[in-house]
Amino acid sequence: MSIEQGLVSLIQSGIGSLAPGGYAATVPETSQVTAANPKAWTYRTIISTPTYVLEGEDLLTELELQIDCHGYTMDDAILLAKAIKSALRAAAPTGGSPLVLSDPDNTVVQGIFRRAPHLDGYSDANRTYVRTLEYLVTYYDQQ
Amino acid sequence: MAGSYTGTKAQSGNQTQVSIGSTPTLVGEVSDFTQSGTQNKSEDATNLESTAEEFIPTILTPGKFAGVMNRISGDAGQQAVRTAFTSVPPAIAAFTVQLPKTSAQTSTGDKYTFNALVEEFNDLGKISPTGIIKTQFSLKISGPITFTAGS
Repeated sequence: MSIEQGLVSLIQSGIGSLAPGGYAATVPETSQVTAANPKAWTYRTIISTPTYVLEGEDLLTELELQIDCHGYTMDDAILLAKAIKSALRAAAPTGGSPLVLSDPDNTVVQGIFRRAPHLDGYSDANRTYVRTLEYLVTYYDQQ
Repeated sequence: MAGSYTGTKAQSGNQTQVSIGSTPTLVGEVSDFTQSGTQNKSEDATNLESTAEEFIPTILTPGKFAGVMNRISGDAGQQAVRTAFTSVPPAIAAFTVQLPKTSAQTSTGDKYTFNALVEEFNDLGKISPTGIIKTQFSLKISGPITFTAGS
């Protein structure tokens, strides 16, 4: 759970009090999006691609992550997506130094890249408008 | 009558070790290692009396290896390959390719040793923001390739 934990903490600290989130897969019953609490975000991992060399599996791993930005209105979803994109852009490693996440493993991230998918829709389960983002995170998987 | 087939005895390249030096130092994080051009050469001896092309065998050309590895700063084996490449005059170095054990081997896997010139060493390969920096290198084998069967 460590890379996920680190990324949740990173995003949440970047967007501040704009919205609660970092929920796995779906917005929990206790945190439903309403007119009073109009935004929330969830995540799910899609693909984890390890690197292989002749000696075996390398720690360097590419993780593809889906982030669903839920809004009471589409505007809410769009504003939240904008804030998350901005937070991750600001947090991405710069200046030649990797990013060290604040999870218990202090996961070392080499890069955070937004992928092309940028999908708008409606979640019947959560009764929210959703903007879906995808990211590629390159990191050392300590397992 | 041939014996009945009991399943493949082929083996994977996973866990193969490529090393450099007479006291082998592992070249770290090689991801591809490809042999080519190992062939027996011949000379055409076809003449006017020949009823078909004729040739006489001459000598074995040991060929080349082309490798790709994740560039690892400070890896002793990678550094040794770089040193062999940059030495003046260029130096012939010893290489070992140690295969993993097959299911029929209990002690060691098959081993190939040879001497080679590091003919190419593209240290930085292709650099991109979303990709690993990979070093590409090629070895021109000098002399025979010695095969030691595993056991």
